[in-house]
Amino acid sequence: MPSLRFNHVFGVLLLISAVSAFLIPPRFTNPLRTLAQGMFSPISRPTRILAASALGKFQEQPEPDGRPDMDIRSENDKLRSAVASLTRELDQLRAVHADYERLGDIAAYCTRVSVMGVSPGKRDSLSLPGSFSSSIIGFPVLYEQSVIGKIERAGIGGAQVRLITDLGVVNRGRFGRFVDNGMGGVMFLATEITDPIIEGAGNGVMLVRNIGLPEAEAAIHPGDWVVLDDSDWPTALQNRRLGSVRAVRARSDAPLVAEIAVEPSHNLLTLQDVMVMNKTPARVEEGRSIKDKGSR
Amino acid sequence: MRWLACFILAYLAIGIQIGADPYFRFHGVMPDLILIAVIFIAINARRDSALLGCMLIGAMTDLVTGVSFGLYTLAYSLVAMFVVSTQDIVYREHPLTHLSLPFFGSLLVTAVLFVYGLIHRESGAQTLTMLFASAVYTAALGPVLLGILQRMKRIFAFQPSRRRGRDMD
Repeated sequence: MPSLRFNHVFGVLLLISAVSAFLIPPRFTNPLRTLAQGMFSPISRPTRILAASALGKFQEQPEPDGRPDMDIRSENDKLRSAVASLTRELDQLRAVHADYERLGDIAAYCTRVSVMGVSPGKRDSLSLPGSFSSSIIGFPVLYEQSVIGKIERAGIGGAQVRLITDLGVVNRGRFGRFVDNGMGGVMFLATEITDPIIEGAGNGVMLVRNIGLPEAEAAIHPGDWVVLDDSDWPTALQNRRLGSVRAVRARSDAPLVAEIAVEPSHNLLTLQDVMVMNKTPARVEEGRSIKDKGSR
Repeated sequence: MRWLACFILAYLAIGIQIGADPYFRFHGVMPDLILIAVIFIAINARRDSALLGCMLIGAMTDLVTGVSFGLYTLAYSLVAMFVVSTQDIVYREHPLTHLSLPFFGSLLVTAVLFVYGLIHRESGAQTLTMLFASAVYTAALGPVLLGILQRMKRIFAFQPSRRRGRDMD
């Protein structure tokens, strides 16, 4: 008899889990998860640090720049000049348009948060320990000036970042590359390809699959940048780097359409910390005035 | 069965999976360490305890994933049902058991995830080939990890299976 009762209970629990998995959208169950997410932090964070120090060297390392030293120094000088010039133009724009207040040094509007680990399973997402307000859901997340994702859920137990490489994530962007501007400097030249759709494909890869193959092969080369050009993101993050083109090939299911593989500049799943863009200009000014008072 | 010991095992397995997953990956293929813990409990514990324990491990895993809550509860429960049904016909200490059970268990989890992906119209780099490779990777780790856990079986105080009519421990 007790065995028969257990079978009933187990069967009902199994049915409930199946209904929850296949019929109930994750947003209804996310509040429960945010309560308990951070409980694994005491194990996952030290494990991550240990694994990074012990195994990180066996991961694929970025290819070293084989160019002569003088060429690299010359390019750095040109980029510094371009940044100095653009910073001046930006200051002038800010004086005119209030919407551009958060352009420029984006780090001032971000909070650095350490990463506890990744979501187990096939998803590209990062777990952040700590206590967060649910108001940051949807906030952009960056790493070293590049856009890497958005906060998917947040609560008193932690937060989850859905990376731009995760399955089902769709963004719009532009292709481009840096060229000499003919005046001793460099400029970012966008290609003429319009409206590429950058889809997350999992495993740290994004794919662009809506461009004709001849057009893609003519205009896009491995190493070209893919930058954000999507109105769903804040103005301050437009033209931020999403990744670089790794390969241009034909789609297996549509030979006349290109499949362009795009990879972020870093392995996003191994990041030790990220920046959450959660500050407004008013809060930044408040922080600065508090610092100034403290230093007097 | 000592439930505290099983909870600690599950906690460690999930914590290690979260923390070190990117570093265990080989060409994008990742092992499922939590499944190893599920199989260990399912093959050693009495039927009722094994099923309930593995279901709870699945629920703990669902707390930290990005998919719908209940998916890994369902997947690991199905794996537990499969493994429990083989308790009387496999040698628990044999390396072949430690190789085959993680492989078939991983395939079962893969099938559940694949059906979920079809229903939610997700497509991309997670092809069946990669999911199968993940099963092979998990199976390759099985003899090592399950071998170590089997040597620590006393900590969990598993009791031999009883006939029908007895209460679960």
